[in-house]
Amino acid sequence: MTATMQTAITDSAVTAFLYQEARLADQAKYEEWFGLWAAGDIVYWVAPRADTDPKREVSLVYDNRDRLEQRVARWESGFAWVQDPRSKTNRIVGNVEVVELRANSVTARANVHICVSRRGRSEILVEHVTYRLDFNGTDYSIVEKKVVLLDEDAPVGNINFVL
Amino acid sequence: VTVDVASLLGPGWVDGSVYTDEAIFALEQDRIFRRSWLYVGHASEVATAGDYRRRDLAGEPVILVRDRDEQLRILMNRCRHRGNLVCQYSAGNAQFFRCQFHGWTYSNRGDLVGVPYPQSYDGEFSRTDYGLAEMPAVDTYRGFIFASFDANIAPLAEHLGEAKRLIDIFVEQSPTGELLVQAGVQRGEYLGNWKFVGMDGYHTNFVHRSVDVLQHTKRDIDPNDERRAEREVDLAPLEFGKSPDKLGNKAQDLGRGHVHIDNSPQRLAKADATMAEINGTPAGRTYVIAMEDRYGTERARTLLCAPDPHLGLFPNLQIIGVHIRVIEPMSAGRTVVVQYPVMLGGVPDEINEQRLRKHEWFFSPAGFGSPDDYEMFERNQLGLAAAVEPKVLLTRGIGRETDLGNGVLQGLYTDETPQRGQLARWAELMHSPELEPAVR
Repeated sequence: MTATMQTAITDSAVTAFLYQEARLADQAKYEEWFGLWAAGDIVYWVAPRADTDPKREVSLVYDNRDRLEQRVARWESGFAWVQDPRSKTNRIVGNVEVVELRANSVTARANVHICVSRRGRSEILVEHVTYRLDFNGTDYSIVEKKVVLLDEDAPVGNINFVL
Repeated sequence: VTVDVASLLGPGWVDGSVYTDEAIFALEQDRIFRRSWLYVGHASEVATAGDYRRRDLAGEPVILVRDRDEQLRILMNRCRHRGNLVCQYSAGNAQFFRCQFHGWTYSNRGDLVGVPYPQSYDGEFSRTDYGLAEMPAVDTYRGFIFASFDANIAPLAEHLGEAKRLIDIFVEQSPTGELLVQAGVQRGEYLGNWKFVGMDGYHTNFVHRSVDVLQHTKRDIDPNDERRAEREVDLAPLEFGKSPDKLGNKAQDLGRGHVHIDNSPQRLAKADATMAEINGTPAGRTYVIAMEDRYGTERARTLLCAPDPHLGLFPNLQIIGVHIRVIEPMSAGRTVVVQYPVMLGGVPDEINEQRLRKHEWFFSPAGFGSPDDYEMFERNQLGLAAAVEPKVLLTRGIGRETDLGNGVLQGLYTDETPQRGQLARWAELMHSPELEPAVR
């Protein structure tokens, strides 16, 4: 198999994986969504800008495994009023690019547009997302997901769902 | 517009239209926001000469700047020529502000220093008459910068009153007394009235039940943790269904619309465990030693174990947890909330990092706590649209408060003492028919 073919296969597999993540998020299947994450240390980060240090600047989300697990548990608890009723989301994942390819890991970028509808109002969230994925030869899993919203200055409303 | 303020509230009740009526909102802008001390920013945000931050005060664009002489100024972001913006960026460092429309240029002291082709103005024209306008009153307390549109407003220290003591507690989280408001910002918004952002002990167990449930799942408590029992006890106070009043926390009306939820009784009751926890890491130990060196053992213990005043300063500032929160009313039914997590001078980096993570956990617009508050505010706005029986009931604990003698009225934790205090000030400022509308 040529290097080009290998790259094409990887691009396609990574894109399929990101589509799967988007679908589970839209369906609010949070436990299954959490299952896409790697087993060890993970970072789920919604950063204020691309170039920022989370130790020195506040983020919307900076979750390690424990906190992400708690976040999922909160969404599933039935007591997260901000998601009662739930925000319906429909997300388009595009411009997927594999930017670094190793034997056991992949770094990929994507643009994501999330259409959000709740209580008769709709809005669109626009994101740049960077993924670090582990690859075990069969499956991908998320080690780090970094989200940067397009408009860092705009106030955010109800964003208590997968970003 | 005529609004009969006296008809809108009485002892223990307020008419729902106070939260929903756009005419009342417009009057609030004149009578409250143009006649009060408004929080603008913190001195550490403009730490060196030339540093500036753009802000909005009652909808007016201003520039908070430390000028070339190190003096803090609040300049109106409006060219004296035809009113264009002179500062375009949200923050930066500049010697000059220039209007790009016709090139009028101002120093960071606000002086008009350049007018292109000045020969076409008549002999009467003098640049000294056209410096940038400034907020009529500016004053600071421990680095907190306030301004007012009312040049004759009472001194800030008088306005803050008892709240100063609580600001002190917030400042003295730092062993050097330095707050660093340099850790970014979070902007959230909700479709509800600005006055919903108050201090309320009654809501905690209901609105934040998800947090309570998570804590009781104890999934994050290692079964081999030696202090497991202690941690589990820590979680007990939020237990759903039991009144939290018995924990001893208090709700206070500090006067002038300032309000406070005093969580210190509950926190100081477990001070030993808190001190053990902070001392459990090298960074924490360093922090404790620095605090004891600066403030003495007793005061340091109080500052470290009951660090978190829930303070509301009428009309636009709150200090909660580790953050400064600014309320920006946009309309009767829309409010922007701006949050600045505050870092401490003189502590190990790990301590400040912990503050950020703790803040994000509960207070972030994507966090586990505040979003449920905002959801309640939105539902409240929707519910108030039903105006057949318009009174909102605020009688909880009325008439049984303790007068602490320093202008502070204290109720139990779940009492509506803060709501009544906030609305009393609201009515006092709104019900002033003898006053002309403030000059815009």
